[in-house]
Amino acid sequence: MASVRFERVSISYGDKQVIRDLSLTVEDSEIMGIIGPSGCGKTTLIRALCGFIKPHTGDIYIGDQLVFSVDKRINIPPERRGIGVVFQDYAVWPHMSVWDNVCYPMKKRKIEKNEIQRRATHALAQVRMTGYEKHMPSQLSGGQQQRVAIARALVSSSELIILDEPITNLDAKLREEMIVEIQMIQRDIGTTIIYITHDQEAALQLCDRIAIMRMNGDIAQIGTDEQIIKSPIDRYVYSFIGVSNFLPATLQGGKAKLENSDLVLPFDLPADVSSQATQDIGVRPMNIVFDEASPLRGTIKRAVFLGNQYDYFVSLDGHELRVERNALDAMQGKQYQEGDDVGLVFINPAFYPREVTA
Amino acid sequence: MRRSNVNPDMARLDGKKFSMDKFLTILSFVILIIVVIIPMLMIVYNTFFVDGRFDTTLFTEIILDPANVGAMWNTIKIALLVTVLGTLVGLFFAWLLGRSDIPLKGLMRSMFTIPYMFPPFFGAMAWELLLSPRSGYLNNWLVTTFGLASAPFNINSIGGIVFVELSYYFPFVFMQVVSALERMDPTLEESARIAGAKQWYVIRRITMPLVLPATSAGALLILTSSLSHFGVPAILGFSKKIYTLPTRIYQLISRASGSFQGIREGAALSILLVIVVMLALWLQKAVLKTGSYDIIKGKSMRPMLIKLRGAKIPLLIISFLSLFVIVVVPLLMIVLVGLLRAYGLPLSMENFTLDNFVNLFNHKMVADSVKNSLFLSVASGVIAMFLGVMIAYVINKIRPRGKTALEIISILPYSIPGIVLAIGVILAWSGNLGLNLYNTIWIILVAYIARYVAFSMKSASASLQQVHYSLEDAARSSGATHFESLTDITLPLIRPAMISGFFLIFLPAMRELTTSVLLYGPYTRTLGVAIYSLRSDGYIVDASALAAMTILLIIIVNAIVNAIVKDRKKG
Amino acid sequence: MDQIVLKNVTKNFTTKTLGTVTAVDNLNLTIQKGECFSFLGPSGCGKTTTLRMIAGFEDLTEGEIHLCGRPVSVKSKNLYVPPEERGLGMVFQSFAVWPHLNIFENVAFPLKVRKVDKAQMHERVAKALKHTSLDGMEKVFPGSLSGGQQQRIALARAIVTNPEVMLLDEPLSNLDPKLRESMRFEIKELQKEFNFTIVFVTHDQSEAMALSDRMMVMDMGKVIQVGTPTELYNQPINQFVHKFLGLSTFTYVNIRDGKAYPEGDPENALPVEVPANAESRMIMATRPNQIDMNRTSGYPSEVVKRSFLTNHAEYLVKVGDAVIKIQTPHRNEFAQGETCYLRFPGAMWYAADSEELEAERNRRQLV
Repeated sequence: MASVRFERVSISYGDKQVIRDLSLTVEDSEIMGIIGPSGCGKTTLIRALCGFIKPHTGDIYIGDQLVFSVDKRINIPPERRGIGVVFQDYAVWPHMSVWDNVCYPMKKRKIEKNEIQRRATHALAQVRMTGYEKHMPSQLSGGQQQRVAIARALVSSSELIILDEPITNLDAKLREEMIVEIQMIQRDIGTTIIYITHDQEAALQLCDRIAIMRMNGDIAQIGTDEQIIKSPIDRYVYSFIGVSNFLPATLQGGKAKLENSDLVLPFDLPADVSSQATQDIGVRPMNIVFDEASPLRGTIKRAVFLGNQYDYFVSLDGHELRVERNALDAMQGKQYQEGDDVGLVFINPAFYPREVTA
Repeated sequence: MRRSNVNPDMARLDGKKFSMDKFLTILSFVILIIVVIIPMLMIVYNTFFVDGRFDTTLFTEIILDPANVGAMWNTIKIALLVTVLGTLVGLFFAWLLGRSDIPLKGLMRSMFTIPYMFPPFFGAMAWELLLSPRSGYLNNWLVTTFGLASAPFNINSIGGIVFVELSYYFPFVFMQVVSALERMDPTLEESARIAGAKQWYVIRRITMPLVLPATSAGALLILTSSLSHFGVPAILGFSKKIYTLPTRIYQLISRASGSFQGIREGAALSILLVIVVMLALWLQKAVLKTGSYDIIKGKSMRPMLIKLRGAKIPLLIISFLSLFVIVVVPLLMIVLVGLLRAYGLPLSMENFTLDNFVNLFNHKMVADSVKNSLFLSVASGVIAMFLGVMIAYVINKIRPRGKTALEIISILPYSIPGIVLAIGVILAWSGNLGLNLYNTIWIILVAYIARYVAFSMKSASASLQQVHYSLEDAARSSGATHFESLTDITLPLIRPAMISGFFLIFLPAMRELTTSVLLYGPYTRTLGVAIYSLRSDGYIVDASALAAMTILLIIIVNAIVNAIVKDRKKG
Repeated sequence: MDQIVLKNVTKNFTTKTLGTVTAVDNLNLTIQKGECFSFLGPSGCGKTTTLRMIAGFEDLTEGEIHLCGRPVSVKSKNLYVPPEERGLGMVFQSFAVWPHLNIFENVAFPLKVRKVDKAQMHERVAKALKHTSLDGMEKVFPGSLSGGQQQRIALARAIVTNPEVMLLDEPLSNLDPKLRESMRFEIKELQKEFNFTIVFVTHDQSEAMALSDRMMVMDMGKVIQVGTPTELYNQPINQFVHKFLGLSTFTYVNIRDGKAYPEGDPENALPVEVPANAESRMIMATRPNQIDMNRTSGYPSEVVKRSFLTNHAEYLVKVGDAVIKIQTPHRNEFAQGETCYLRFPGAMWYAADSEELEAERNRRQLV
């Protein structure tokens, strides 16, 4: 079990700075998700942790051990950092059987034969691959190869495992199974897990805490699924973790008036809204509810049935809003069609001061 | 891409002064400079410098000599004719096999690969036996049967040379186009049908333009191969004083019987040849650039095959007839003549004997040549294979600064005519630089390594590109050192490419003529040279017998290779 | 009016490895003029083969196909009209835009083949390009364009002849999700403008539901169910369709005295109406987003786990022995361990040892 600490780490490729002055602590035995749009530097950060690339500045600790430091001129090579890694493309060695793949890390660490036998058997059982020992990777499906990669990471290290976009290539069903599997393994051994992905949904399901990275390589917010969904720290996080509507508005006398319109939204502003006059009001499609009694009226432009939900595009005095209505409401409530006039209620609207663009 | 900025830094921080990566990079450069760059520079130096002074008199003399200019025009004429005709024949068969419902496609395809296996000068020998104006078997038969006044065919002509080269080179276009047709997304043609176009309109307006890049790639491969080709014009042209640039270079050097002046003249002329070939390569680049589009996508669905209906049987007969003429007749002819008691006798049972084959083994020169060729093929196969793997590793995985230069240098001998390479090797390693390998087998070995390193480099490169860097990284994370990740993971993964790289060198080296014909000494004849000398000394029957034996050897080795490849696929 | 009629259509393929395989098995279908009709099913179910038979790329083994009242494939009469004479528009998954022709030449191709005169050709191409937002790009070659742009060229090329029937073979599956949604809308807009009948092949159920007036679910060469999207989603004829159209929860229940008890809980009956012909053991099928989770009434349960996901919260709750998943809006919030009550409006009932379950099991073994 090991914590991980990045202290003021910066990484560049040539002239391009990918990670900027990043500090992050992953606690013992937690599942930490690192998410961000592709190209934000999350894989770079992890490759630095593994020792495949060298940061420009900063220190990296695994547990109490300083594994990298520019000031102290320390760079422990990857093979001595004791990290189990599940690579994005699994990186299961195609010329070795499942058994040889799993045993390799222990052989390299000169573990005694019987112990190797015992641990490899156990790891394969944990990922439900018992019986496939003699198979070559080419005979396995993508999901199975991935489980072999996880088993190999498990025997590599019981302290720290890194999963780099491990389930993006799986179909929905296997994804779900793998998420449960990873959680169970973590509960059994208490390994610290760092999970890198651009898939918010998977991270929210799996992780104890999530760090959201920005495109410029620093961290926007760290928190639990509840914190991130309920109180996104800024507009970037808000729009990164889900579909969102933004309405440009001006604040006047405790109310918000839509821009390019005389419409004043019929609700009071939350107490913590900043004093800036120009704001963007964020409201999620699922948080707009049709209510006949509401004074806020819009017109349905388009209604699309998707099975699990209805998507509506509603025009609110010239502003287009996306509304999602879950199947249960749609089943039990009134049916709406294109052209209908509807009353709208916003639940938990978020206010973000408009960024002034130069 | 990522690794490029990374590894040198990492090595420094690991605290090692001299990393394995750096060592491999430097070693690759040093070897390539010795093997490739020095011989090339020697040609240029000896052409343009006399006693250390810049002097273009020799070069001007050589390129203004009407005999040389004539040879150049012959070279270009032959190459253009072979290219145009080869492209047409290749396209026709590619379309027939790729898009029509002609039967026996598998058999035809495997027959098309046979010309690849044998050296074109065997074909030239065979066709001379059949169609030489004085004594060709077929000519004689035609004259007696139809009471003709003179022989109807003359293989010792430009036309004859074109015909034989054509039969060996058209598969270049055929193979390229067939594979392009196979990779092509069938919906590209289907969408034209849906748009209302008839089959023939689709072929003309959609299919043909889409395979144009593949066609021109194949055509230019024919062009450059024919420009630098030595064997066929040497066999068919010398007796009628028809020269091409490669045969003219050979003639200049052999006439001078090793005198330095002769070699210098050859060097100067080879610069002219290189210029012509480079022009062709430049043309290839320019053409390929305009038409490079990706047609490899889509679900793999069978393309709609065009029904030949009434034309099916005639086309099938034509195809097999031409395959018979191109593939079977020459091989058969060589074997039959090899069996004759004496050259000139009719080809009938009572004149056949196995004595020639038995005698071959008593002939010291022949026995030497078999030994030499086996040694050279195995040695150059092994050395060039490992060298190619090392260079490919440096280029693809270490990616140092200058990797493009490394790549160009290692591919350079591939586009330089074999005869030119031979001159460079002579100039470099026969004492001018303090090391004299002339008349030893080592000088041939050095030339073979230079000539074939590109083969294994390309095959190893293609294979290394499949080895994603995460496979090595995974080994590092599992506790393997950098060197262990190489020996445990990377090398085992490219082993199949190494094996095929070896045979890619072994097989052509076994039958090599162009380079060795300038480099051999009294005791260092190779198989190709032995056959060539036997024939030019008039021992036609023995030459044919030895060629027939070589054919047998090549077939056996090919069978072994195929067995290995099949085995790998199964396992 | 009947636009496309398929009668007893069967297609067998013979391959060296598998012998004879029936890709489409005795299929009967009528598609109305102006309809948007989807073929939906897992890969290998025969949907693409059916479309290709309509297009004329595959001959039939048996049966007949009529387009706009005209027979185009009639096996018994050996009648077969080649694709170029069927007058269809078609868009492929791989776009199939010709890389050696620029956008104008691509779109003008069908008109050129039909020998339409120059002036009219320019006019019609301009109209097609305008409706696909490609105007001004006539001279551009498609090689450098994005997938979305290439698909627009393919659409323009298909509409330029004003076809009565438009065949779409998974046209959106090579596009990224955002673009897929907007292209869906664009296709509907084009249909309004040009009035063609759409036959749409897809394996994506939400795409099919969003686009179609009616749809057909196929499996192993057979038609399983035909109907409107809501019919199919809310009343799937069997478990296969239920599962294929969206997330499903299947719970084994025991029926006693007309009440349903979840397996492992003989105490609390589920608040559902049990069908009259129910056997003693049934499968109750619901969907995670159609379960009503509240604090007042229903089947008493307990929250085992909660995750906040991007547009709903996901709860795992106990129902008898089983743990089932519920998706509900964020605002309907429960704490971990909290007691909740469940109602199951619109639950479907299937026999506990239904053939479909067997078929499903077999298929999974095959895969």
